[in-house]
Amino acid sequence: MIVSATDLPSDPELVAAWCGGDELAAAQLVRRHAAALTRYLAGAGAASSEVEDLVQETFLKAFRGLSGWRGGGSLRGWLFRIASNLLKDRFRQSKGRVFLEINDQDLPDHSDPAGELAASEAEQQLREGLSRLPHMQREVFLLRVQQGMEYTDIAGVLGTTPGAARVHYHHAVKRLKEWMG
Amino acid sequence: MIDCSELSGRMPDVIAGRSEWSAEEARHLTECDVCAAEWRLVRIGSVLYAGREVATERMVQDVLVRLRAGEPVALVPRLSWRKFAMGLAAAASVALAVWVPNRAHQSAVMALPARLGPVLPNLSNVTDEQLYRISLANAGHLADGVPGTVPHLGGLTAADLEQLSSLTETR
Repeated sequence: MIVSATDLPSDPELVAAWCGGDELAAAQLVRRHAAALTRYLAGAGAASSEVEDLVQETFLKAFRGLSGWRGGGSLRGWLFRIASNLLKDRFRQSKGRVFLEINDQDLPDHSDPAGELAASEAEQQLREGLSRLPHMQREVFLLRVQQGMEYTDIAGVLGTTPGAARVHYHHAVKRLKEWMG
Repeated sequence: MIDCSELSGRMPDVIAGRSEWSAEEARHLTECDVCAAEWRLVRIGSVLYAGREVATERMVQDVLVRLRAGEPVALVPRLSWRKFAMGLAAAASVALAVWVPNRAHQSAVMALPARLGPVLPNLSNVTDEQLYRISLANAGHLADGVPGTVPHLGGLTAADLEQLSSLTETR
């Protein structure tokens, strides 16, 4: 039996089920958003060894305070907000160090070895460029490009205005283009 | 004429599937070096860490275990700062509503002796005879409505009330 996307329960439905004590709903929410959070945190400069822990912390904090989520915004945006704040706390603890690591598992799997190498080099360059950006520019770029979010949602995640998010994005793109030559 | 900045703003939307290039725009992206560089950057950025494996099922289990073991989950909506502020404001307005009339009443009471000072003599040094004369002199005035001169009817018996009403009727 094929289940279409429209048959799947929405985030608000799963949240309501979880609030009613349904653990399976919580599990489904983790499955739905874990990969996006992982990519975001890795791109935002979390140490590779800490990414999974941060994702778990994000879910725990979210599940323990779902009343803080206003159903009007997207749950994913709210999760990103929690993740971003947790990452900021970690940065404070590590005195602002941004981690830049590269593992084989992080690289995209391409069938063309030359293309794979070029892609991995470009991605590595981008990671280095991102690590040199101020955190707002880095996070706006990731949310906009990697996560495909609109400026309004980005502003909600980062606690800024859509206009400011747009400015951060353009600064980030300008710097990254210069960095990548 | 293609506007490079307009294309730049739409690049993430095209990647996310919310927009698409026209044939002319697609051609521009291959001919304009500035746009081509940015388009490449955005495409690489869109797949950044896409190959990173996530042990989702293990994470699900870990999260559930930690949820069960941890502090009780706040299923009852907690008081947000906004609700707290609204509650505080409501409480303050109620307190003000009660306090201000009390203050007014209090100041009226405080002002009473000053207001009545010239009217009521200092009775402590008054002799019984003087007191009797004063009471006679003020009897009519006091009966006009100064508190304390109105008889307290709650203490009267049914017989007293009957007698009082018959006296009033005869007058």
